Amino acid sequence: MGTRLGRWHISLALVFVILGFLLATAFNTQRLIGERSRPRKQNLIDFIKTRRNERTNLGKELVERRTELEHQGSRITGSQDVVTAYGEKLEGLRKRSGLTSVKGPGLEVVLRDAPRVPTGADPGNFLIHDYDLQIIVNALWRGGAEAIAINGERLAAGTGIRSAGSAILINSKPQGEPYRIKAIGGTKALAAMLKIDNDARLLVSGYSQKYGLVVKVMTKKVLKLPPYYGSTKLTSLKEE
Amino acid sequence: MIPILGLVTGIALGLILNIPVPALMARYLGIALLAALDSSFGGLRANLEESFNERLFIGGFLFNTIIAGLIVYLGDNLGIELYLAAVVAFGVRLFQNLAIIRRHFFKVHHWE
Repeated sequence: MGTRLGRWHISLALVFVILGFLLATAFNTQRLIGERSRPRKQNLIDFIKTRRNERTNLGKELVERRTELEHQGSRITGSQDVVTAYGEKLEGLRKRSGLTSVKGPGLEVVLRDAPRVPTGADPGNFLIHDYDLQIIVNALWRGGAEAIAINGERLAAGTGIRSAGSAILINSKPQGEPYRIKAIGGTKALAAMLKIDNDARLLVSGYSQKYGLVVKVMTKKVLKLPPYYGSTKLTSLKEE
Repeated sequence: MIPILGLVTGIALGLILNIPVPALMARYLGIALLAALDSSFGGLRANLEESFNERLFIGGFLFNTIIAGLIVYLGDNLGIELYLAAVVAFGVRLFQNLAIIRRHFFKVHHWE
């Protein structure tokens, strides 16, 4: 019956070859799955960390370059009287645009989530949301703020304040509580506007008490705001 | 000697070719492996008992593997862990065959 090689049948050897092959493949597969699933999260974390560092470094470099450019510009404006007027205008625009670090008196508003959420209550009511920050920022602009930064992120022309999951993105960088809003401007006017502006008043003295949100408003003699680290590249915009 | 040679050849082949199996197919691979294990030990036993039938052996191997694969597929689609049935069936037979092979060796070497 069948082909034999000594005591053993060839077909038996064939099945053993298949068995060995499957064993090795299963071993490889299992090792691959294990390798993949375990450090994947770590890889992702490392990736995010390196990219974050990269971005911070690039942002710093950008500011350095801008300062350099400014120096070059001021050298030119200094040597040529004709362009002095333009130079001053440029200087003013630069300060307003948020591309330079600035200091001055102003207001600091600190917002925190409620420390406790009662059982059964909607937890959303006890958190600081992107629109809460928007309300405060809008009221501060309305009150004549000249520069605003949230958690060290300077608000510039392209700044957005939006939520992504549980984090709030400011200049596309995730921020967590406490949210420190620093605004340079007339301290009295700013503080007054937080009471005049309906939404801001509701948040500062209404909801905060009702839900236990922590909202602190402090007057500061000197506030230092960092420059905007983001890109100012314009691709679609053309001057009319 | 020849079965061991075949086993080593197979392992070497598998390690060298290193064919990646997607995670979804890992179950089917496991079942195929069990069917191969079952057939191998069944064949070994039959060979030792001098009752080896090549057609029966190859046919059984292919048939069992295919049916086991179908059962796993059916179970996956019905949401029932039917593959456990194949695992248990093959597992029980594996141990039975191993026991008989062990006895056979005892008899041959007069260890009883």
